[in-house]
Amino acid sequence: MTQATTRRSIAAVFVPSAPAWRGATNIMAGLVLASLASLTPGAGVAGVFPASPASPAPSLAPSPAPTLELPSLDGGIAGLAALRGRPVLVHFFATWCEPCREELGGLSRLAATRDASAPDGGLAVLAVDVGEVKLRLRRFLDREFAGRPPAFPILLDEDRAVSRAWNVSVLPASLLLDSAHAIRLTADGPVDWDDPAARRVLDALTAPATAPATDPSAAATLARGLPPLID
Amino acid sequence: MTSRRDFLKCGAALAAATALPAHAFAQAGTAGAGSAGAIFAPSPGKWRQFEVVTALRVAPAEGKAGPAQAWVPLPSYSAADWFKPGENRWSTNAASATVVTDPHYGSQMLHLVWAPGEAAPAVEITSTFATRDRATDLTKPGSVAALSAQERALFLKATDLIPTDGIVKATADRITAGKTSDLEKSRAIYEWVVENTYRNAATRGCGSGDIAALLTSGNLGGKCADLNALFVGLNRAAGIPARDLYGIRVAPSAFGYKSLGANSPTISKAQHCRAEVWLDGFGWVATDPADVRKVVLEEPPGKNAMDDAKVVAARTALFGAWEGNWLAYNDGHDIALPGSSGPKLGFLMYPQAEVASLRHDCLDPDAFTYTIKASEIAV
Repeated sequence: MTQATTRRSIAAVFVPSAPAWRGATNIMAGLVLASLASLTPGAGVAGVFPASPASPAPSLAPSPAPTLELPSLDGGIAGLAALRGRPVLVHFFATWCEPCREELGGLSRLAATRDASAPDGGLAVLAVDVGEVKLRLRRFLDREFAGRPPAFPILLDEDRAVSRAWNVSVLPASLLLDSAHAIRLTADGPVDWDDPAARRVLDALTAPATAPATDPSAAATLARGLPPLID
Repeated sequence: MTSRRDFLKCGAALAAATALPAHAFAQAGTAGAGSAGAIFAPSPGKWRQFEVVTALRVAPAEGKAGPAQAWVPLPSYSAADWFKPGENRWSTNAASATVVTDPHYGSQMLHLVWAPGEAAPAVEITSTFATRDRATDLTKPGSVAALSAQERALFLKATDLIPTDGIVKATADRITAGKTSDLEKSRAIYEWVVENTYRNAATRGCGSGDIAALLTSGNLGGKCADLNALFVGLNRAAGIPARDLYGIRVAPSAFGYKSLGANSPTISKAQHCRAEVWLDGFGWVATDPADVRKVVLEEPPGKNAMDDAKVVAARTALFGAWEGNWLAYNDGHDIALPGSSGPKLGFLMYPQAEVASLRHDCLDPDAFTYTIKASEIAV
């Protein structure tokens, strides 16, 4: 069989009219959502998923982040507790999810450039691989990030207990926590972390002298949300 | 890009299937014009006997060959009218090989433990079973013995990935509003799943089966472990006993549906789960809404309309019937692997292995490594 034949068969079978990966706000249909509705300032996790009638109504008040403590790819247990006092970007992903893979590079660049010497320690990035075994993740990183591992720790939520506790129902999902570890912003779908707009949002969240909830300009920046990654 | 490589691999596998002898797909050969006369009508008839050989070589993980252990599902489901597991035999260089039975569901697995110094842990398991088509005439209730209270409770119960409250209950209530009998309710759930979900080719393996996340996301794409688990969860939430059966396709479809059969003797990636619902007067009834969505997406020429004759035929049949070209391993959930410190499995459908306490990726048979082959044996 020729390569061309193979590609044709792929096009016939694997270009669905429906979204191309499970659960994600996707490029074809979902990025409108990702750029508007699913970037929910101050809403907390529950407000992002209004589908359930049992869900509480979206609240503008920051909501405390659930516990996060998981085995780390590098061994041992890691989580939010060690990052007390620092703003944190918690990012849920899986290696099978194509938009997740596309987003990881930008996320790594972001983690590498945030100023760890800032008074509050700077933004910490914590990634959580959902529902996969360590060997698969290692193999993926060896293949996709050879020689330049992501500049953030990766935790393993193998049985999905943590992602369920965080109400994560689409991948990728990013949650921005302030230094008190209250959820200030949630993004479903991939974010363009290289976009200056994303950096402005992070600055608004992490600026030590301002409290975004009360500072109108910071709150307005947060309200604009994070820019979606459009490939 | 990884996705391209993955897609290429999938594309190649599908293309290879099309190279099978024409006689195996007499009806599929007429797809297109011929689909107007599509037939998909399983009915209980001749029993067929199959032999499935699972060959496992536990690959080293991160440079370590051991200590290794593995857990391989064995056919442990039986139903007098359509599925009879036979014998399991194995050859292995493991220090121990023990048949372990899950205490809740009776799911069986072969648990193998190799000596720490074993350089090439391997096992070959041969399982035989007999099966045939199933069909229930849902217009003619009979006198079926009632489901025991214990079984009713077990198959109404929530599992880790199949909650029966919250969004699952709310969705089930919406779907079954105004319906009175269990048959009406379950059929409404079946039609709803068929209408509102889709098969997502990018889903790994058969999906995770996390149905609350599926409903909450509002994006109802997945594969059999998602879509049929959704059907099961919605039924349970509506008070109707239901269960997933986890298994693997072993033979082509006799009705010419390429998407509903194993089209090669090597079935390492042909895992498939189906669902049963308990309806008083009928007993356990065969259903498979996920396979309707598979026909929609994959049956040549692909991306078929809902009113395509092949889709309509499958949709009509797969609430009440299915084809006997499939092995049922078990109906278990939340399965703990003895001797492992890793998490429980949502279901046991793939071989599992660990090396130096690192669990292999069961959805990657080529790296793991395992092969599963099926053949029909003469009675």
